[in-house]
Amino acid sequence: MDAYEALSQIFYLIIATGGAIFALEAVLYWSFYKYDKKYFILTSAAMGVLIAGLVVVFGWASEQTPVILYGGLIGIIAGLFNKLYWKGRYRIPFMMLAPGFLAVSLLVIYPFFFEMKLAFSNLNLYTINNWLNGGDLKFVGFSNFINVFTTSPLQTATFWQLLGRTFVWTGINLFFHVGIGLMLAILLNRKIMAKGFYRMLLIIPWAMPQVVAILAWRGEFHPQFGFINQFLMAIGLQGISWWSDPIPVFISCIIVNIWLGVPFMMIVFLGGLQSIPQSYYEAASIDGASKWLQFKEITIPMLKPAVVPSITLGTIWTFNNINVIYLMTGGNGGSEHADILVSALYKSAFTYSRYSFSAAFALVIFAVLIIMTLIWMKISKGTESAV
Amino acid sequence: MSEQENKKNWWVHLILIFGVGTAVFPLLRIIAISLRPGDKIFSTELSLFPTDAHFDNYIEVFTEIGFFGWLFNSIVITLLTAVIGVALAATAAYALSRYKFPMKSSVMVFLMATQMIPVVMLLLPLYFMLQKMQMIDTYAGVIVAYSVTTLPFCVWLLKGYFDTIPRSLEESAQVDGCTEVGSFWRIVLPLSTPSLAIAMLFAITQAWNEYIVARVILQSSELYTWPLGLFELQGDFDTRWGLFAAASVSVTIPVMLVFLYSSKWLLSGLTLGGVKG
Repeated sequence: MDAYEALSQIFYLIIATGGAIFALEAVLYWSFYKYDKKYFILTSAAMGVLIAGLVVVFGWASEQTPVILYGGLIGIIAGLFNKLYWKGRYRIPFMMLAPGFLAVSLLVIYPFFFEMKLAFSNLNLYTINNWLNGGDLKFVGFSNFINVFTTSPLQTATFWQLLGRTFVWTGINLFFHVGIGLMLAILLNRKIMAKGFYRMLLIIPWAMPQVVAILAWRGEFHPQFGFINQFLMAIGLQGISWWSDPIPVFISCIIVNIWLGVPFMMIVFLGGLQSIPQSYYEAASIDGASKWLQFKEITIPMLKPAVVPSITLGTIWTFNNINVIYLMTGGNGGSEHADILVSALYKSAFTYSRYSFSAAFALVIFAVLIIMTLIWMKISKGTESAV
Repeated sequence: MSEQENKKNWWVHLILIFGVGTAVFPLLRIIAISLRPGDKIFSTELSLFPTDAHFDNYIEVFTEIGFFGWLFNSIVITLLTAVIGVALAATAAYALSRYKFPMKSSVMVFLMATQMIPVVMLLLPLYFMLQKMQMIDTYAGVIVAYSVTTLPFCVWLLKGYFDTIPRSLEESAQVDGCTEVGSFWRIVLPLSTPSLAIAMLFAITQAWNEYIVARVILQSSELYTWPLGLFELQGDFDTRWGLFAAASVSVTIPVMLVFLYSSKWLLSGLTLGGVKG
């Protein structure tokens, strides 16, 4: 497809989105004004059928009759709700919320359920054509989930190895992000010359486009021409084959990700440090508290509220970071010794084309994420009550 | 006192200079490589800038490979993602910030949860969805896929900002005869231009730098965004390393200038509750 064709398609997309939003708002407006009319439920059902019919006409639904029935059903339910509970209240919030919320639902909820359906079926490279040409998906029960734990998502690494590697990856990265970030922030918070200059240059890893930064680093890790090995050899050490040996590959990914993530933490910590009133330290030093004690008893507790959300976010970002691993290991067909869960998921779906397997794999990863979040919520609640 | 402090600070400067050196090192290196003449690409000398620097790589990037095509594709996709994201997010965020309605808390939890789901996890079903709608290998498909992450994020960020605008402003406008929607349009939106700009900037940086999703959805090289193009160049690492470096520098410098210029805004946006929740 060329650029002109793609541009004209965008035009259609905008018109279609605009039309859909307009129709949605009109329906909502109408139903919040006429909710107490006699035939409201009936008209509401008719409207649901009409919208579902439009969806079918545009060819976005695979099965036609059930979709229309669902449309009518949703119309009746929404009408009943409106008549019995809402009674025309909440008109403005619902009308304002509707486009954004519906868009998010279409983009997140629908794919999520679709993924569940895929996870229980047998879609792979051999069955995909049949399915795309209107064939049905075969239900295969939990076999995909069993395969996730018993076979390898990639060529060699098993699920448990990938999980372990992901935890090692997240832990090491976070440790250095927080450690180096906190150190730099404390240094920058002192009274020193050229503070703004240092700060501006130190956030360059964050400002640089990630793809450029990662690919540039990959070049520096080139076993023959890269700076790292040349430097190692210049000081009399042996070069390391960063691109192929299992452990060096992983280490190089970690180094690059630490480099990328420090500035964010540094800025967050700096903001937190600057919000601590200087008088606390003065009072403490009058009372004879040592620097270390001041750090432990004033800085750390005062930093906590500003920093905990950022660390949570940083954990999720690192856990889900596919860019660094994928680009550093050379994409498809590159080394697989550094792959963490999400990058393995990407490769198993789009390199190895094991569609149903990857859907099940994605749900398992999702479960891991949820468990981690629950544990984290418990821990952070526990510390909150302790303070 | 201050002079004494300064003398003790030399080790602080030492650490900071080392940090700065590490931070700017890859950037300096790709600038240096981009200036090297073709026969010196693989030089093993450690000196930073070549003595016989010249711009052949840049000339080739601008004239021979489809560099401007990539930029054009990236700009179209990025701008539309940002505009659609912010426009849909602004009203939803306002409803969440100002009104009470049933299921409000579940909507908020849902929005928060969507930020946790990485797009990679939903990419496969999204891919099939887009395939059914004939949107694979189009700008539109990429824009839809990018909205998965940008939209909830913008809602969250804008809601945080709307919460800080005092409600009394709208109330007094409504006393003066402004409608509810009118007070949003005429009072709240103009007041929140900075946060709208921040949300826009977040969406722009996310879409501008994205590689993984675009790689799956865009297949024909005419539609490649610049990260895809760069990866192609880098894929032929042995022959076109200089071109890769020149193209990288051409993309990086403007982006970094924008980032450094807007970093104050971005950072205040981070602490304003967008991320903090």
